[in-house]
Amino acid sequence: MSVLETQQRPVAEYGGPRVLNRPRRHPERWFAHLGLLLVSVGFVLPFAWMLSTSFKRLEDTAKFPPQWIPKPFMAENYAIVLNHPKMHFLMFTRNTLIIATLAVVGTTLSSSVVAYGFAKITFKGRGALFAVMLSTMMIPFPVIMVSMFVIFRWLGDVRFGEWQVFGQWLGTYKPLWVPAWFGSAFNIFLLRQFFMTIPDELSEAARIDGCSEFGIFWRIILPLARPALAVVALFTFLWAWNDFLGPLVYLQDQDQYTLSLGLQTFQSMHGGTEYHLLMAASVLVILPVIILFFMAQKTFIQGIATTGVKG
Amino acid sequence: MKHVQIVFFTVFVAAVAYLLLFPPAGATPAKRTAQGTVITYWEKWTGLEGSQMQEIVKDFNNTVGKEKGIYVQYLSMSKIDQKTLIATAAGIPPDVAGVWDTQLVQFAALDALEPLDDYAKAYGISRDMYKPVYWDAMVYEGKLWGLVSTPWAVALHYNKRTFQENAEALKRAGLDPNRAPATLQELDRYAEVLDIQHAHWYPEEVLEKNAEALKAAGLDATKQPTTAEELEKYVKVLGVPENFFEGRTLEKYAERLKAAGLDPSRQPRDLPEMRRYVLICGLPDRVSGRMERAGYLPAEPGWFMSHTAYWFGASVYDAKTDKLTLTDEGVVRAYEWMESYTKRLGRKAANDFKSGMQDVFASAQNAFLVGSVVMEKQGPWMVNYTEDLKPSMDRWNVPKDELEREKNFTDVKVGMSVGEVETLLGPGQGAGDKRTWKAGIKTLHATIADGKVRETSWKWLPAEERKKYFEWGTAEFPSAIPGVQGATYAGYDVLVIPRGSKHKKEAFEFIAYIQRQEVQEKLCSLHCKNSVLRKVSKEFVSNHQNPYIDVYERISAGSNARCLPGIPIWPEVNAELGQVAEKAVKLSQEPRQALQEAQERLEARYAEFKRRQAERKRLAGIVK
Amino acid sequence: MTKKDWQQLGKGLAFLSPWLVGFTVFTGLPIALSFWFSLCDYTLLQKPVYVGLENYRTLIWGKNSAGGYGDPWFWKSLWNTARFAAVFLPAAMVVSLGLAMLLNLKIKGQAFYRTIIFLPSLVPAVASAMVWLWIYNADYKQGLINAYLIKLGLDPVGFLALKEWAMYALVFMSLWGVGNTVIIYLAGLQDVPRELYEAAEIDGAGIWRRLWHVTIPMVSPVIFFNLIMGIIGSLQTFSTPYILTDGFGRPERSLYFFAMYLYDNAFQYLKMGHASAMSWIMLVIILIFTGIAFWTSSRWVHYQGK
Repeated sequence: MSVLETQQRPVAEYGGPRVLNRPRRHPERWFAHLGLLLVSVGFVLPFAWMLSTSFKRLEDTAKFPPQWIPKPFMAENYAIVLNHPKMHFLMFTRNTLIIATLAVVGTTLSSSVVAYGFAKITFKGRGALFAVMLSTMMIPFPVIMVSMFVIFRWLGDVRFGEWQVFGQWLGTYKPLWVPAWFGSAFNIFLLRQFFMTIPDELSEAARIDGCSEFGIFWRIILPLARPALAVVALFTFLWAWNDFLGPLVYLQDQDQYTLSLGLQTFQSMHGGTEYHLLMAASVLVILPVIILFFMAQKTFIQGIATTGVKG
Repeated sequence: MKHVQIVFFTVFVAAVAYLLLFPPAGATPAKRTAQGTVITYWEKWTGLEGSQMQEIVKDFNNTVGKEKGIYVQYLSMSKIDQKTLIATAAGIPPDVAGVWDTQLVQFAALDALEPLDDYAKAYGISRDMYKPVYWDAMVYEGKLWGLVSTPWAVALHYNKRTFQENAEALKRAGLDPNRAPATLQELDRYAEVLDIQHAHWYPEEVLEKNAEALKAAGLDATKQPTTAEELEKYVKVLGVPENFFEGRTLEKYAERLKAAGLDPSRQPRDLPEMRRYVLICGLPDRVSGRMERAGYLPAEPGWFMSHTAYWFGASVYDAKTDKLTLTDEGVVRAYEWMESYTKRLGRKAANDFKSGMQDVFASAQNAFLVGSVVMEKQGPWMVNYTEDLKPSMDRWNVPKDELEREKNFTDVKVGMSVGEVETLLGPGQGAGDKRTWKAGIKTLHATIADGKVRETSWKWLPAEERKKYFEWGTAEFPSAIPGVQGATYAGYDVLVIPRGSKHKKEAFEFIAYIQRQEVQEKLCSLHCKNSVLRKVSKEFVSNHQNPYIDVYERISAGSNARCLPGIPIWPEVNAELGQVAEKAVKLSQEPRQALQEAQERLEARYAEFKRRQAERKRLAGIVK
Repeated sequence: MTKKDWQQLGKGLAFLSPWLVGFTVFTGLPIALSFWFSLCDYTLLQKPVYVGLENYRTLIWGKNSAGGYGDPWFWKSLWNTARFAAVFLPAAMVVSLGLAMLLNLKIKGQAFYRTIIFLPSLVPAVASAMVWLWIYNADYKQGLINAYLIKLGLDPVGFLALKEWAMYALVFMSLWGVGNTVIIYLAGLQDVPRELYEAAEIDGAGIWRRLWHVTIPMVSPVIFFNLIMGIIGSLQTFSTPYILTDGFGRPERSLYFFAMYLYDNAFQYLKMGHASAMSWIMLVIILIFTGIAFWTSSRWVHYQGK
C-alpha cells in the first residue's frame, strides 16, 4: 500500500496543472489559440451539420449549401424519435450499456495483465508470441467472420447430457463481450508501449520489498499508466457503442437490439430515409459519449505522477 | 486494503463465472413455440419498408399461421444479407430469407437454396399466374428457386412543368410539349432543347464587335450561347470559335478523324465541318461551360446503367448459348449512346454537373426533384421521394386554400362534431352517417354518428384524376429499336428457402401467402411497387400511391420486359459493366474497346467459374 | 534453461494466459482456417475444396486475359492502397502529433478543443460523408472549396469526380479522423517529464530543438505504436472509401482499395478462397513493413524501462 501512496503524493505536491500554468509572456499561446480555433472550425463541421439537420424538416435536409440555422426550427423531431414505436430508445440504451460496460471492464483488465507480461517479464519465446499477437491484427475481419460465427455456434452446442456446458451463445450478448475478457491485440500493444516507458527501478525496488509480480503490476504499474488505461477504456467503449456488424450478426431478437441497430429504423431503400429523424437519433446516441469524453479528457493529462520518479 | 482487494477479486471472478454460465439471455425463440412451429424470416429492408412487411407478417400470424400452427418470427434490417450469408454458411440459415435479385441465381448455382417446384405445384402456383418476366427470373437450370415478394420496373419520368415552361422552344424544334418522347431519337432531341449550359465560347470583345450582326440574327451579344443549338446559330454569324479543340484532343482522335476524311492537324473551319469534328471528338472541355440543367443524363441516377442494352434490343448475356455478349453491336451502341451525351455537353461540364448531385445522399438531393434534370429513368417508388421531399410536385395548380385544407386532414379527430370538422375542411359532401371531404389529392371519409365523427380514413383521389395534379409524368422509356414497345428493365426482391432450413413446408406456406393476390397487392401498394401477378384488381391501380402504376403494370407484363441475366457471376459482370459505363460517360476509353476488354476478363472468369463448378459437382457426387 | 528461466517462463505465461486462451478459442482457429481456405475453392455456401496454390496463382502470377500476369483488379487495388498509404501515413503521423502537442499546451479551453478534435471520430459516417460531399462539390454554387476557387479566379475542380484528384481528396478527408491517434499521443505526452523541457529551456534550446531532442525521443514508443497501427490501418482502409463511393471505388476505380476488393470477393462474388488468399498476401505485406519498423526501432525508439 505504501508504494501506491508515495507514488500518488507528487500529484498533490505539483498541485495539478496550476504549477505548470504559470504565466508566460510568449506569444506562442496566441498562435496556439489561433491554430486550435482554425482547426476546430473544420473539425466541428460534421457535428454541426448533424445537429442542424436534426432540427430541420425532412424537405429542408436536401438544401445545398446547407442552411445552418434551420427555419422552421423543429425541436419536436426529438420527441418523435424518443416516442418512436420501432426505436425503443431506453431498452436499446440499456442493452448497449450492458455490452459496452462488460467489454470495457473486461478488455481493460485483461489487456493490461497481458501487456504487463509482454512488457516487463523477460522469458523465452516472448518475442515470437508478441509477433503472433501483432499478426492477428493484420488479417482483415471479413475472412474470419464466418469461422468466428461457427465457433460461437459450436460453443453453444457443447453439451454434457442435457446441459449446455458453455451456455447458449448465438442470440445472446456473449459473442459481443466475452472475447473482450481475453485481451485485444490493439489494446495489449498500446499498453505494452506505455508500460515499457516506466522505469524498471520502480518495480525492482518493490520486488526487494517482497512484492509479488502481480502486486507490482497492480499497485505500481497500473496507477502509473492511468492515461493509457483511460484511452483503452474509451476506445473499447466507443467500439462497443458503435459496433453494428457484431450485433447484427449475433443477435436474433428485437428485444436485444443495440442503439446502432436501432438507428436503422430511420433508413430506407427507396426514398423513405428520414434524415432529420436519423440525425436527431444519432445526436441522442452520441451525445452521452461526447459528454463522457468531455468529462474524461482530463484523465489523459493525469500521468504527471510518474514525473517525480522518472526524471 | 488487501482484504478489500481479495473480496473485490473474488466477487469479480464469481461474476464472470456466473455471467459465463448463466448468461443474461434475451427473449430466445424457444419461448414462442407455444403457438406451434416457429419459422424465422430475415428480410433486408429497413425502416418503413421493413415495418410494412411486419404488418403482412402479423396478418399471416393472425390468420393462416394461427390456423396451421405456424408463427413467423420476423427480423428486418439493412445489411442483413450479410447475416443471412454467414448463418447459411454456418449451416443454420433462417427458414425464409428475403434476398436481392442479384443473389438468386448465384445462390441457386452454389446449391444454397431449396428448389420450390414441388411445393409450388402442391399449392397450385404456376407460371400462368405471373407476369412472365418475373416468373422466368426465378427459374435457373429448369428449377424454381424463389418467389418474388415485391417487383418493380423502370420507366421514364419527365417534368411536365418544365416541358410546359419550354413549350415554345420544344415546338420550334418540332417537338410536342404535351407528351413524353416516343422514340429514343426524340428523347435525345427533347434533352438537347431542355439543356441549359453556360459556356465561354467567344471572347467578349468579339461578341461586342459583332453586336449588330448578332442582333440581326436574333441573338444576344451580351450572352454566350447556352445550348448546342444556339452555339450553331452563333457559329453561323461569327464562325467557329478560335482554337476550338485542344491539340491533345485532336491527336487522341487522329485516326478516327482521318478515317472520316478530316484533318487532325487543324481546327474545323466552318459549321458543317465543326459538326463532323464534334461527332467524333465531342464538344471541347476547355470552353464548354457549367451546366444549369440537363434535359436528360444517362448517368443520373445511374442505377440501371448496366441494363441500358435492353433498350437497344441487346443483352450482355445470351442464356441460350450460355455466352457473355458484351461486344454485341446493340450493347456497343447502348454505351456509345451514353457516351454521346458527354460528348455533346463536354466532358468537364457533364461530369461536374453529375458529381454536384451528391450520390450518397441520393434520396434527398434528387436531381429530378430539384429540377436540374428534366427526364430520368426511375422506378415506381419515385412518388415516395416527391411526397416526402417535395409534395408540391404532386399538387400542381392546386389552390393554396385547398392545400391548407388537405394538411388539416390530420387534425380531424374522432369525437369532433361535424361543425368543427367543417371549420377545418369546409363543407363536405354526402349526408347522413357518411361524409367525404376532398382537398388536394386526397379525400377524407368520415363516419358520423349523433353529429360526431366516429371513424375517419383518407384515400388518394382515383389515379386518373390524380395524374392531372402531378407536375411530373411517367411513360415507358423509349426503345432505340423502331417499333419496339414497352421495353423495360424489371427488378424484384425475392423470398427463398435456404438449404438447411428446418421447416421447409411451413416456410413455403408463408411464401405462398405472399403470392395471394390480395396480400401481394397490399404489400406492393405499401412498398409503392407494381404487382408480380398477371391479374391485378382495379382498386390496386386506382388507389395506388403512384397514379402511374398502370404504366408499370403494362410494361412489366409485356414481352419486352427483361430482368437480370441468369448468370451466376452477375455481381462480377455488373462491376465490369459499371466500369465501362463510367469510362463511357467520362470519355476515358471508347466503349467498344472497354467492352472488348471487359468481355475478355469476364470470359476468363466465367470459364474459371464453370471449371470449379464442375469440379465441385464431381466431388459432391463422390460424397453422395 | 535454468531454473530461473523456467520461473520466468511460468510467470510470463501466467500473465499472458488470458490472451493465450482467447487466442486459442476465438482468434487462432479462424485465422488458421483462413489460411486453409486460401488453399481452397470455397464459396461460403459449399464445403471448401482443396486446390493448392490456385487462388494465389490467379491473383499473382497466372496469365490473364490481357496477356499480363495476375488479376488486374487485384493489382489495381493493391496499387491504389499503396499510394494511399504512402501519402496518408506520413501526413497523419505529422498532423496527429502536431495536434496532440497543441492540445497538450496549458492554455484555456483545452477541454473544448480536445472534444472537438475528437468529434469526427464519433459522428456517424453518413453525416461525415454528407459534409465532405458539400465541401468537395464540383459545382461552385454549392461546393465550399470551389466557391473560393472561383473567387480567386481559378477553375472549379471536381475533387471526387476526377481520378487525378480523388485520392488526395480522400487523404485530406481521412486526416479528419485522426482524433483517435491524437488521444493516444496526448496520453503519451504525459510521460515526458517537465524537468527535461525546463532544462532544455535553460540551455537555450528553441521550440524546434526541444521538439527534436526532448519530445520526439520521449514519446517515441507511442510514435512507434502509432506507426505500426498506421501501417496496418492504412493498408486495410475500407469504410470511408466504401461509403463515399457506394462500394464502387469511383472515379474509375481510383478509390478501389485492397480491402474493398477483398470484401467484394468474400461477400459479393462468394469467392472466400480468393478473399482468404488476399488477406494472407496482405498479412505478408504488413509483416514486411512492420518487420522493417521493428528492425529499425532500436535506433530511434527509446524505452525508459530499459
